[in-house]
Amino acid sequence: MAYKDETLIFTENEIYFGEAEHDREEVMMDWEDSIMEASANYVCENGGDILEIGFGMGISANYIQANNINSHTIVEIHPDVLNKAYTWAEGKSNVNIMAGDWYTVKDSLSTYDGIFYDAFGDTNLSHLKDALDNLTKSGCKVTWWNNLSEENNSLGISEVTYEKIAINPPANTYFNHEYYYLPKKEY
Amino acid sequence: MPTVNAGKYGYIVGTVDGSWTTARTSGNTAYNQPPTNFYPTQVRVTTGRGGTSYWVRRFFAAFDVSAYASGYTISDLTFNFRSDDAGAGSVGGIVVKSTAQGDADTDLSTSDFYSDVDFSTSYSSNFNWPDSDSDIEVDLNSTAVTQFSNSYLRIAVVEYEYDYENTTPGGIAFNNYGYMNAQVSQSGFTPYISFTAVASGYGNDIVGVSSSNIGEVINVASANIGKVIGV
Repeated sequence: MAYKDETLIFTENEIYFGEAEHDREEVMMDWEDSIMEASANYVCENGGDILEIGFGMGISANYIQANNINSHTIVEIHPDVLNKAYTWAEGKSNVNIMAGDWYTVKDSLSTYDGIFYDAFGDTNLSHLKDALDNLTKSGCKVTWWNNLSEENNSLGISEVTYEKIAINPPANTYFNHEYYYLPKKEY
Repeated sequence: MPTVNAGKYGYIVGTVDGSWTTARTSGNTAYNQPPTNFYPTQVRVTTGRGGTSYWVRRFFAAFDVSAYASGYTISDLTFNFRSDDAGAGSVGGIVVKSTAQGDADTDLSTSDFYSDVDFSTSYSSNFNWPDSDSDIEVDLNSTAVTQFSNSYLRIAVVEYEYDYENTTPGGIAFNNYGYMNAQVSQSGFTPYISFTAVASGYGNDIVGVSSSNIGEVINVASANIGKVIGV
């Protein structure tokens, strides 16, 4: 089953799907707050127009909004998360939400001063590296969720620097390390 | 047929990581004598955040067989556990040598996850576990039997296709590659081994006849003879 077809369960602290221990998947948890803050602040260093792929719990979206930016475009594929995003965006005039797979809607996107990619279950992830060339303005600051516990990334993007962030995640199915290596790529 | 319950048993959950090597070699959480159903053997692959991530679980058990360390010929050795209906069909596992859990009296720690598993010493052929409630009996080989002379048999059960073979699983979203569901105290069941133990019996020559040629002495099988006229 594709991620967008999973029934998500939202709690105060996390989003997950699957009930049994062996098939439960956490999509996002609130222990990531410091990572989301650092990610948002990095992509907003230029101000301007910000693209956020994957809304999740909206933690990073709040931090992006706290920065001095012109526009905030959010691409979200999951219908349950989309509903949360639409509610969150009410009254925020600089927010534009696009529903769907980022890869499908990419030709409708503009170019940006900052991009934060944090999608779940993305079957088009391998295309992200090339797609960024067409989505970035000169000097654009880009980061993404890094599932490696080292100064490396699985996207094949080179000339990346990393900010080492101490974290203390509870038991979960997606990240168990004491440090998160926040990738930073300037185009 | 003698049986020996595991003195210690449990499983270690590895660290989720986008690197197969890191996931396969880094323990994260150890569970000892888990009180109810658990999922101790598993390779899990998900395409979640930031790409494909891997997660490995391994089951460990240690048996005190010191009572059979000498004086017996051991055969028909099997490892026995109980599966429940949340198994994974055609996927499989294999029993390999472990050096964890001391003298069958020591709890697992996360550092045992990789360093105490000897993937080069298999104790069984690869086997499938069913997706139904049933007791599973896995034949252990002669290499496992030799451990009886060390007084302790320590095993790990690992997923066969990817973990044992050290093959990076394909990036299939939300897929699981095999897990052994073992019921433990919930149904009063502890993993155990069973085997045939034949006393080695009298092993000396008698009146110039080689012991290998002696089957019995005055109608008493040599296996049942400890001494002959006090010798």
